[in-house]
Amino acid sequence: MTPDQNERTTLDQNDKDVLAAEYVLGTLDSEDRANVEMLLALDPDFAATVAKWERRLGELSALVESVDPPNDTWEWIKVRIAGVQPSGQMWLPGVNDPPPPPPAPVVAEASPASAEAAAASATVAASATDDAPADVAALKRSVSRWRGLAAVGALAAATAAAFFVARDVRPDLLPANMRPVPKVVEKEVVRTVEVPSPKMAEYVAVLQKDGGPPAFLVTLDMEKHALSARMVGAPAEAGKNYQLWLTSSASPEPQSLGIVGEGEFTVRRNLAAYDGPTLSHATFMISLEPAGGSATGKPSGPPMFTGRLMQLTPPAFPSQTP
Amino acid sequence: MSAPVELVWLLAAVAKGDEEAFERLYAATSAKLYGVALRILRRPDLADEVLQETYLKIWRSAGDFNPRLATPITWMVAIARNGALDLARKKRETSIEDEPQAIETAAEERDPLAAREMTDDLKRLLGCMGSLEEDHRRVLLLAYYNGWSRQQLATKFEKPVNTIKTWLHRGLIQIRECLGA
Repeated sequence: MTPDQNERTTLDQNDKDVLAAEYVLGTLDSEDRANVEMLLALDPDFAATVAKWERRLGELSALVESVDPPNDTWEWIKVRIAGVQPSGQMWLPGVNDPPPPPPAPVVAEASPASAEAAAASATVAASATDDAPADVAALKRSVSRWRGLAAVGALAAATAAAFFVARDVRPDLLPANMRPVPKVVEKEVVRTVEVPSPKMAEYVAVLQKDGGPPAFLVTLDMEKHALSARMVGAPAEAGKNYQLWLTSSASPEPQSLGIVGEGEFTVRRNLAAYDGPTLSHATFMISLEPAGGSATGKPSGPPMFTGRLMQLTPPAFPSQTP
Repeated sequence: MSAPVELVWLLAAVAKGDEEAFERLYAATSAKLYGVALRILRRPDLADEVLQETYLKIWRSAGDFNPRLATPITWMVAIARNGALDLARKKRETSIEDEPQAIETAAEERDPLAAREMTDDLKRLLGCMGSLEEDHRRVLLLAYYNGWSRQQLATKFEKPVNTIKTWLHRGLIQIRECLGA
């Protein structure tokens, strides 16, 4: 770093600073806003200046009254994000490597490696409050919690994958209490031996409570519109049944997919009413119901276990694969 | 509203494509962002449109959030306000004359400084606002909360646009110096 880089108070810089502030405040007309947006894309220093003003003035939003948006807004957003990939991993202090530039100091004050870093630590220092150390500690805790959640997710996915490899490829590898026991529980149920195809299940949902161990596994064969549910970790409840439900953007009200019994595969083949996108973005839930299932057609209480489908295999294998 | 730190990890999960985290983020923040957009646009249909675009952008670019440069709320509010301001400029660049009374009422009917939960940063900012000349403070607050342009402020205050521009610049520079960053 050269001393020059700290001299940020030239007239030009001041003009830019005021322009950034007015942009954030919102007083520019549409032509000036468009010019600023172009400058934002071209000039990282200017973008940092805008970010600073957003931080400064954004505190004012705490005084704006919250208003509940229309109920269907979220449904529209869900539909619109389908198939859109987020940009990727967020940079968190001391957690993952920073994007270059700026080089990331692990401790901000220790080695500001660029003007941006110096400006950033100035912001941090200026906004330091009595509870700042607690914030940092809480952030670290939340980060390790996130890592823990990711690990649980990976474990669950791995468990599910292992389970389906075992079921579809080598059933004899399963412990006795997890082996498929073909048993009719509803008229749509068929023997599981008819269901497996040579390939692994494409989609699986691991139904859990609060990130706990897998309680139910749901797989979906998109081609056949067939669903299979299996109780793997939920405790048996005397005189009660677990019932499987589906909600989706198309049907926000839970739709019953039937009872999932202990030691059974519950296979449903009447899912033609749901199209692929609906199913692949659906949430599956399990509720505990009186024996025989909910009498009202709705879950009697909040879901005990929930999960969403994840894709275990690529949508299509390369054609040159032998 | 969830604590900032919970929102940080929700954003981190969203950046990895976690739809459930996205839903929780929406549940925790959408009423605030909708309130912000509605206050600027004063039309539920337009605020709804902005809210959808805002969350699409949050979904796509959660990975760009930098906890050292912003809090989750100031970052998300900035996205919502930018969407609302862009739309407001397009929809009613010159329409303040059409309904000056409505805007006047919207501006005055609720005291935005009513007691709420205040962070230390907000208290400091409001302290700085309090040290401004009254007109300078009023143009800043009306611009921030109602999204008024220089032209709209000039109409409201019955002053030339250049006067408003001077007030804005003086107020903003004074805020910057008062906050000392």
